[in-house]
Amino acid sequence: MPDRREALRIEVRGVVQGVGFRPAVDRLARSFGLAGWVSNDSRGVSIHVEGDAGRLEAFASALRDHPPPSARIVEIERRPVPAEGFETFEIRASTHDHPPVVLISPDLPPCPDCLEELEDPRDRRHRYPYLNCSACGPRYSIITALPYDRPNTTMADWPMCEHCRAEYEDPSDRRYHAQPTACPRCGPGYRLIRDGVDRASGPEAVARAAALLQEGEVVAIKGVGGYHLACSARDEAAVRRLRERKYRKEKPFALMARDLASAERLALLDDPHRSLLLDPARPIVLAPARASLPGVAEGTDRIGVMLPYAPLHTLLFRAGAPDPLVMTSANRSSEPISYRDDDALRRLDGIADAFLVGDRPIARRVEDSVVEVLGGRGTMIRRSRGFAPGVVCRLRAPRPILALGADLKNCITLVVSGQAIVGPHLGDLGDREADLAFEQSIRDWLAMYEIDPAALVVAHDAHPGYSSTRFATEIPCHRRLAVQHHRAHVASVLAETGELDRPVVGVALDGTGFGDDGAIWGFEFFEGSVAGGLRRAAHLRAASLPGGDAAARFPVQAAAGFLAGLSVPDLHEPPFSFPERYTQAQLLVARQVRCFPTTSAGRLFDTVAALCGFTRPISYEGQAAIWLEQQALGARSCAPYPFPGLDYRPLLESVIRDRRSGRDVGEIALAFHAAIARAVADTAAELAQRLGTPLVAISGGVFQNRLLRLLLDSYAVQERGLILRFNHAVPTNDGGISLGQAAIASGLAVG
Amino acid sequence: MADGAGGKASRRLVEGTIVPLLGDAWKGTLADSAVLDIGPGRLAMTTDAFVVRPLRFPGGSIGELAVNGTVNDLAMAGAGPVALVAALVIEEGTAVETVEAELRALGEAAGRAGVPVVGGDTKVVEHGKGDGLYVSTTGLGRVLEGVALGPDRVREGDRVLLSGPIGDHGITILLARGEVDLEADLRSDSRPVWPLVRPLLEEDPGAVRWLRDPTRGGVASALNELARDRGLAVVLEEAAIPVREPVRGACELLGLDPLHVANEGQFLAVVAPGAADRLLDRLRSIPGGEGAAIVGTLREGPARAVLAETPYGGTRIVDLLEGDPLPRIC
Ligand SMILES: [Fe+3]
Ligand SMILES: [Mg+2]
Ligand SMILES: [Zn+2]
Ligand SMILES: [Zn+2]
Repeated sequence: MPDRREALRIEVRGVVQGVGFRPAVDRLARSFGLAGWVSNDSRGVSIHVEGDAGRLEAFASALRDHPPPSARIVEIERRPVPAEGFETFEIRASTHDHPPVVLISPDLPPCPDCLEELEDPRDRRHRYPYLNCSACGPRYSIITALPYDRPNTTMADWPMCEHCRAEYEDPSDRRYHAQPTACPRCGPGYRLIRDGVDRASGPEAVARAAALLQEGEVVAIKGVGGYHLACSARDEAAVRRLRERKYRKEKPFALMARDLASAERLALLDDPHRSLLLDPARPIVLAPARASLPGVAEGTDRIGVMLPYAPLHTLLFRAGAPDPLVMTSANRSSEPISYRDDDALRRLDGIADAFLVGDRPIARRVEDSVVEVLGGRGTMIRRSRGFAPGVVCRLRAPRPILALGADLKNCITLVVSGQAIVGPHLGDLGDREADLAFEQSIRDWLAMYEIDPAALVVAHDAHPGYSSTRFATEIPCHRRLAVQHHRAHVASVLAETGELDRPVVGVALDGTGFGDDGAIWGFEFFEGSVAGGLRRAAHLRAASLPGGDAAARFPVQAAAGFLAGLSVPDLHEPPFSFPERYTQAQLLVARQVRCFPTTSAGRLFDTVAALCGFTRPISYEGQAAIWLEQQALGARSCAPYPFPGLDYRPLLESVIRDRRSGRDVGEIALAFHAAIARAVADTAAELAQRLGTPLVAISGGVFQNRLLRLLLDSYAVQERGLILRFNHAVPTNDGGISLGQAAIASGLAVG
Repeated sequence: MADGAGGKASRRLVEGTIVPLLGDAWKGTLADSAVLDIGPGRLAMTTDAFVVRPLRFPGGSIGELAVNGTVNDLAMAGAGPVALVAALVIEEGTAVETVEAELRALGEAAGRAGVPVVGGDTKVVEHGKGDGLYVSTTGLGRVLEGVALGPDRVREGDRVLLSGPIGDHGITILLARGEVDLEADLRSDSRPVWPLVRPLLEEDPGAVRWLRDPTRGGVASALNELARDRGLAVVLEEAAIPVREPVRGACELLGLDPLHVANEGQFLAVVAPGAADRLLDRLRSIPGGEGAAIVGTLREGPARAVLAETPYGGTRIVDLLEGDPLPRIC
């Protein structure tokens, strides 16, 4: 027997620590009768198993095919090693031999075992909203420092009872080293607060909250990464009340459905949608709307749905909360979500009728993630809870890189030991809370990964007025690199696919980015490669942007810039009926007061939306473009407008002519979308041919437009034979910028 | 043109043209230096060069600005103006009437501010080397007794007083530059503020800790400087900041924050918390001070920052702004 004994060393990388990986390996090895050890090291988990060759093979495939549900394995490496004669299997203490690239796990939803206990009246954690085990529960949202041990979490103030302690210390128990483990005897609880007074606690608090929701009240609910404002999605009066109190006029609300069956009634789900809904990240999934819920998501044909992801959510539905619930970030307007109790009670006073407050503090704000399905694959719109922080891809970078992202939808990326770790959505900088989260993330990450500032490369946007740019100049580092916004967009796509050396055509269509020449770019073509440099190869004909950001809030103001110099009829007259604001903006353009030269695609969409009837200010970002897409979705096929050499003038003249002749707005919108897609396809094809590559990397916020992507697929892929790459792992909007900055900096981080 | 070359021609220009235009404000002697007998006490002295374009704008002109800017700088030191000297740099080819009009405006403004003009100079530069007319003024003032001002006197908990609605001057100039006439009601706020400052200082000299006129860079720059110098936070209550409707509307159109826009007739005062309401009432009782408001508070942290609490319960960072704000919405 000993002579037939073989051994394997297996190294697992990814999110494998703090997710119950070692106990799972321990159970798996024992079940195959193998000996050896498993240990956390600074790069992940190392396993040494020895025994019969066949069993070793079976163990390795079981590990690969059925890893613990919460783990996110990036790579598994295995190599044969000499057997050492172990007799049993053991979990070894951690080693610390390399610079750490240990990944902090994102927060996890309750596992099936824990859910079972939650429902079991005989279990001591029956209906206890803070139950978890080593395979589930909160992580990033409760960590106050590394290493991830209980004293370094927001559970530090609740000493374990002897029961919980025994489970925590038993390697064979599901709660072995489950840092936040607790039970009703020793752990934190929940309270229901109404009119500033505690009204109930424990299961009674949850029951009262469910009843209030049933009665149409708005309840602020403390979740994993912050507070939600909840109300019954089927109670139109409640929904409208919430909108009014939150100053959120039209932006769609996300829903939480009790279970998958309920979600199926709300949205048209295919398999990728379903698996995203059930993903451990439990994101908000955007899917075609099926149910009509007045006030929830008007003006769009899609709806955002998520499933319960904290034991409390499950308990609320069990206690009779209406299904589905509107679950929207607790804040007024678009500021970051509230996560501290005192702040929430103060800021949400007058919005929420009652508060369901849990005692466990949240260490850092983590917003809900938002995903959609693109080409059958899950695609990020907002990458946050459950996904971040996490490794997105590898980059060749011997030096650590810190990429600070853009000011809006900020998110940072850290590259350490060649792994690009992308952080959660932090919101728009310039807001105090977002700035704090930004600075805290940077401080935490540099400390956690023990980064020496003398080696650090800091990448930031080239915009001179961004807060992140100013911040970049204040961080001590080896060198600093300003990256042009749209090159970063394009590079983010190629970082995901690992095609940094390949010659490509890059396409970036979005609202605003600071260009090489000081103009405001946004409809850009590049050629070259990320490693060798992306040269600007074509762009939209430049227009004037009167009033800068003011034009982004009022489509007719953008129109004044794009229509200057065209012979246009009086747009105050029907069918256009432009408001006075247009005349004022025209004056600015004529006198070049506060005007910026721009090639923005976003403002071109706004202009056409204005011409098609969207003449009021927007009430949330991207609203006019979303409205225009919705108009187009209602139309039959129609020929693209002329858009020769990316000159928008003939295009806009056609729109105006068609509008005056009474053509259907949907058809006009569709012909416009087709013109954009056609021009992108033609320009990209021309550049691709010159470059001898079929590869086109496409990014920028405008490509959140599904119709545009569909049309591109037809014009660029089917007609032109181009290979298109879009973002999936990071958003195509500015949430992906930091990854792109890191990819461009990685070429420079070598020396 | 030999008028600025010195010697006799220059003397003729000064005696024959300039002095009469300045009117009663002229108290000079045409000697090389003015000699003043101003008695005991501390003096304040300041100088400023004015390069505004256009030279005339709704509510004011460069000549008037040159007086108000300098006497206001004296006022910010707690000093009433005692004497002023002015120098003009005239671009060759500038219409004589233009120069005359500005001299008259300068004289009238000095009269309104109650400050004698005691000396001056003119130079002419080649065509193309100046924007028509530059004016530089130097002012001398006497500091009111008992006044001690400076960032080091500012304490946590102190309140920020603002003398009136902001942004009028900067918006007026910006629009006048492009000859854009949006609102009949938009005009520069240029005025001397000493008549407003003096009663405050007399009311309670010890309670006023710091004064600043929020000119270029606006309230945001002035308060950022204070926050940095003092290592404290200035927390503004956005809803309390007075902004006139036409200015608010223009800022909305132009993509500007009123806090970043220049003023020429307002001042900020940091005052002791206990005296704030009384000083506000006093200020409001003075003609021209009706629009005053308490707009913020000095706080311990975040150190060196200016914040504005929004009506929605959020808090935004009020940055120091260099140059025009560029669009950033993506
Ligand atoms: Fe962008
Ligand atoms: Mg000055
Ligand atoms: Zn569990
Ligand atoms: Zn316990």
